[in-house]
Amino acid sequence: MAHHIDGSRNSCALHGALQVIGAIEGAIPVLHSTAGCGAQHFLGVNRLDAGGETFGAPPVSSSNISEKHVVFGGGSRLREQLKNTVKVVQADLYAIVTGCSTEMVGDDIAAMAREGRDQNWPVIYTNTPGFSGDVHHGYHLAVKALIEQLPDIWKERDKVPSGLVNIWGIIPNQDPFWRGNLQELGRLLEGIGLVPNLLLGSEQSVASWQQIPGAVLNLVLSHWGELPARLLADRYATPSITLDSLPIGTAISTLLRRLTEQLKLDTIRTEAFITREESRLNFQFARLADIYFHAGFQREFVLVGESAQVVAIGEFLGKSLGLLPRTLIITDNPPDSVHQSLITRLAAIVPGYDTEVIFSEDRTDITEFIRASAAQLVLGSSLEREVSEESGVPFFALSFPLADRIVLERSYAGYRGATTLLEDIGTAILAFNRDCHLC
Amino acid sequence: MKRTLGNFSLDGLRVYLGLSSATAFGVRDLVRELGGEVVGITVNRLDELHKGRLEELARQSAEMQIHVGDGQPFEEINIIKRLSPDLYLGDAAHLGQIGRLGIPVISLEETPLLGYNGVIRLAQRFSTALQNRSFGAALALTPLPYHEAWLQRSPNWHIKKEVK
Repeated sequence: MAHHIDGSRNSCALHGALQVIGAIEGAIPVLHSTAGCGAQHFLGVNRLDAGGETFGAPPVSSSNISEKHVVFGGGSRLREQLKNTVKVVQADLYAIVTGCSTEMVGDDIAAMAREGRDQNWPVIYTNTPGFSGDVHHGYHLAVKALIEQLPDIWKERDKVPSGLVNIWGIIPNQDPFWRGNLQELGRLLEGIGLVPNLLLGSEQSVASWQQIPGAVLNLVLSHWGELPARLLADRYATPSITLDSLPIGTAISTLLRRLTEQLKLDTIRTEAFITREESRLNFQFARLADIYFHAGFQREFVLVGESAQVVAIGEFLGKSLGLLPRTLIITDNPPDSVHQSLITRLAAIVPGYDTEVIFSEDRTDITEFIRASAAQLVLGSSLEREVSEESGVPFFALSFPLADRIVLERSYAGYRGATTLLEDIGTAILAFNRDCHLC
Repeated sequence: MKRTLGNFSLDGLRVYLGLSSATAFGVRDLVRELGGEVVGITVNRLDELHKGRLEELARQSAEMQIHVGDGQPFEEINIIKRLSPDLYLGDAAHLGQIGRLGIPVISLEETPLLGYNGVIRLAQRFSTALQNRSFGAALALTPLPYHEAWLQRSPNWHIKKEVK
């Protein structure tokens, strides 16, 4: 029998879809499921994602089906809910998402969405039962629905700025720093003359999604962004660049140069931009040096998080900050086909040093791996705090769930995110040293 | 202690020490015990108390550089750049500058050294510093605040000038 997962940090497909819809300004979800699904998302995800609640309250519009609808079908309940939502809640787009019960019943969601559209309401739908997959699958389902259905609602295409680049693979809230990371990436792309289409987060609206077909490139920043890039390659023949993660620190220069070459941008401008950004980061390294040495920053660490976070943060700490990646634990269940390339990449962060790469989303297993690592710094989610305290090593929370931090626009990406990460990890080490004296 | 240290060794590594006179000689013994070679020492002061250790040093390695100077990083940097050691151990306030030479630096300011645990702790710090030099490489991109001409001169150059 399969082993149950203890303390999972990957919630269900419905939640992933809710997080995508919630990250688009002017889009709201209409949830067709039992009352518990929305409430669980609020309590089990929003309350644990560092203060990033989008709607400001738990009551997402929900059909709240009961026994009667399971027995006789809930289509009419959804019809009523959609009609009332359109009248009550101001939005540019209404996205029907569903839960396990309504999908087991087999309610015809597509027909309900079509009915809405027949009345000229901007409605899309996606079937997102939790039994179909986890939060990452929910991201896939939501972006697929948006890509495929929006062109049916808005037939005419607006003029799209030249050099537009769509960004894929950063999942709202599952990466607690998604909003700030996208902003920093946007700043970097603008710095070399491109127009970022971030799609999610501040100032990203339904209009941003309407511009997708006109982009010159899809930039994929985690395994989870490969599916939308593939869909768009099929529909619009848009080329893409695929990375494992959004790099932190000087590693981002490789991406900026690659974009410059592939899109034939101004090389001189790109190099000047990189030089300016890197000298500022190097200056911060130099400022940090004294405290780095005397507080003993250089040490073995464990890092627990999504594959994109583990790659980006692991490489930054190992390749720029001199730390040793003892154990890297990947929690987002990337498909088996990418395991080997992730292992190869992560094991080579510090040549000659033995880095252990583990794929697990089970809290008990992860706790044991941390105990066994004997590392002197733990970076993970709030679920790793306890074992870090028990092991007597400094701890810093940076992956989902984040129950004891507030993250609104903080970024751990690009050049500015590198400085922020230095500030935060450094602060955690200093606070630990202060509290523990000679330990 | 032997079990924890395993086959850890500083064999073939040239080490520079920048420590107070009270600890420098003891740490030099420890580095040698672990297989390393101390190629230079900066101490803040020397007096009668250290006569015995200095005589011992003169017998064991007459050519080893001893630099006496409290808070004179420009002299120390000059010497270290010349000697180009593999590792720097110190407790001074200017480790950030020494790091810009790209040399792995270990601070003993907050690392208790006494007893067997002290040795184990220090060996772990050595091992970590030697296994990943990326921060040193990043620091080396920031130039030192000194004229290149100064770094080419004898570290005593400015003193001779003043005496004349």
